[in-house]
Amino acid sequence: MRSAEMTLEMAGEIRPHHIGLITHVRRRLMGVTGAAILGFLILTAVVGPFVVPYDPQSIEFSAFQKPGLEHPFGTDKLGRDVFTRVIYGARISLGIGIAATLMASIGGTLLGVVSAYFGGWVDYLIQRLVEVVMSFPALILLIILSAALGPSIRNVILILGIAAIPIMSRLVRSIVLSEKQQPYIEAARSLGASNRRILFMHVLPSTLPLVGILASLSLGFMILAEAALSFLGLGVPVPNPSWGADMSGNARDYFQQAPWLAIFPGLAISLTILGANLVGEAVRDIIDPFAQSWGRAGR
Amino acid sequence: MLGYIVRRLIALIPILFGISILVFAAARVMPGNFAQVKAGQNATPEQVAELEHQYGLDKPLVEQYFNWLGDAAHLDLGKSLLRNRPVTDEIVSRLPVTGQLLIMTMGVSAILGLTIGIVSAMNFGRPLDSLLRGVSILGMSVPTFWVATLVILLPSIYFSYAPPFSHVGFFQNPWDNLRQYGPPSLVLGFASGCGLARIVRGSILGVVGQDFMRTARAKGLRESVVIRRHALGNVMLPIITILGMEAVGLLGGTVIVEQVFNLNGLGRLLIESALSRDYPAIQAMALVVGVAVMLLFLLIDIAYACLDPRVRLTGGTNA
Repeated sequence: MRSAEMTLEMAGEIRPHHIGLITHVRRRLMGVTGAAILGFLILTAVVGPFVVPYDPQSIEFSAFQKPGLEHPFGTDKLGRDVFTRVIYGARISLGIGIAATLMASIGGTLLGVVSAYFGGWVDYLIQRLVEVVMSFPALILLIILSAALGPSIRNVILILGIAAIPIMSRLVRSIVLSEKQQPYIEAARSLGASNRRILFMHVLPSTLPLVGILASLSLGFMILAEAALSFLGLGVPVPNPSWGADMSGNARDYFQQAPWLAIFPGLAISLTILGANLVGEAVRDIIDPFAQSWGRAGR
Repeated sequence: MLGYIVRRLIALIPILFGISILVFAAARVMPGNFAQVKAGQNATPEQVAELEHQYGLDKPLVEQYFNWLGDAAHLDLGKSLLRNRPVTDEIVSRLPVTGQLLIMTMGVSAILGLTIGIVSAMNFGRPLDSLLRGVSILGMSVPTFWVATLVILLPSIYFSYAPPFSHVGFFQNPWDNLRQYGPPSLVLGFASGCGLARIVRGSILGVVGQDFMRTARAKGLRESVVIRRHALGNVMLPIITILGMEAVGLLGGTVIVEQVFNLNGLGRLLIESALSRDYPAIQAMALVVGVAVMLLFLLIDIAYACLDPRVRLTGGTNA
């Protein structure tokens, strides 16, 4: 396939790297839009709570006020300001997403390195375990884990982290396996470097770029999963201003009367995931520009 | 072919053992065992010990495991604490709901995913491709529970319309049944169809640049014929795998739409069991899901072997 591409290129018929201006701008635009959305979200999470005038837990207003000047997103059944809760929700959502991604990256890297570097029965056991865990649909695994640990913010991070460790470890394992064959590892070994030195000084750093990319791609999944779990009543417990939790349980009984309770937290989640997916799409285009140019070569 | 299936079935045995051990072990690590949950918070140690004896929790772990496994092999998955009836009965009675939902959702997802993906690939680089790509990213970003909520909420506000509340069988009243299952399967099918479309588009674009495609075009075939006869045949294999993976993922998706649309399926059973910490039921459902997923993977492998003789001869992919 690649040779066909090169022949074409040499013939000067089509140059796959010369993509059209519109495609180029659009591709950039996608990534930039996504990054802008996520940047706005991070800003909201960091400074938002200092700017909004109300407290997310305070029940001082009358219930079910329509969105207006004083309460842009209205108030809920307890008279809490929905706008304030959505702003604070960014903090919970992003905080949990980042913490869980970090946990999965560190845990997955350790497990993957151990599995690939030591090989043998250690590798066999770890890989079978990883396969079993990965065969479960993500949401069902999360529900079962949550039932075991109980709903709390700390446990949601733990659950999401644990659930994503297998896939992360698979990636790291495959990188380490190919890296082990590299001549420079052999060179280090012949210079008398210890196992531990090779592992930490040579193998581990070489996994970092791809782990970083996978981590950035999984942030959207983490945020969506937290919202879904909280929505089911198995994630962030209720008084906390989580976007998912604010749409769950008996809050649903009032949606008919006060639709803004359903609309604004949902919009916030959608916008966040959209931002994460756009960035992910741009990252994928950068890693694999070939998938794009193939099609063009065929035209 | 038969030999291949038998080989795959034998290879399944250690994996099933792995699943059962993991599920059993997970249930033991949970804080508080069945007996403590059942006895409640104010129970005396004697009451708990009595219940532990009744459930066989005072026996050695290995013996407990094999008892549980033996029962499971006879389709006895234990008794739900919440409902006080066998979990197997509960699962069987809810299977039709989730089954119909899954089949309809898969249908929506496959039609939507293949159409969007093919049209998108055929218009590569044109505005229509960008538009469809945008739609599919959007569809993947909007959480199903929110769309599902709006799909119920908006018609009820503006048209005072509500789907039938209690469950209606398809053969009882097809129209009411479809009014009940249509919206959830459309919502879920759209979300998963968007993911599918991206992969279909990618697979087709991967094939389009190959030599035989150029030959087909050079022969003077029309573009639609080239796509249908040459490209689709080659992308069918990965697409089957992806449809299978979709089905596994949808097992999770049904949990959410069942909850929102008030359908009494397996997903709601799982949620209710999780919320009330009904350990025997959770343990049973984890085992059922694990086995179901393994069987689904087996089906994918068999479909592969049917379509591609190379797989039969070389022994095929992993489970």
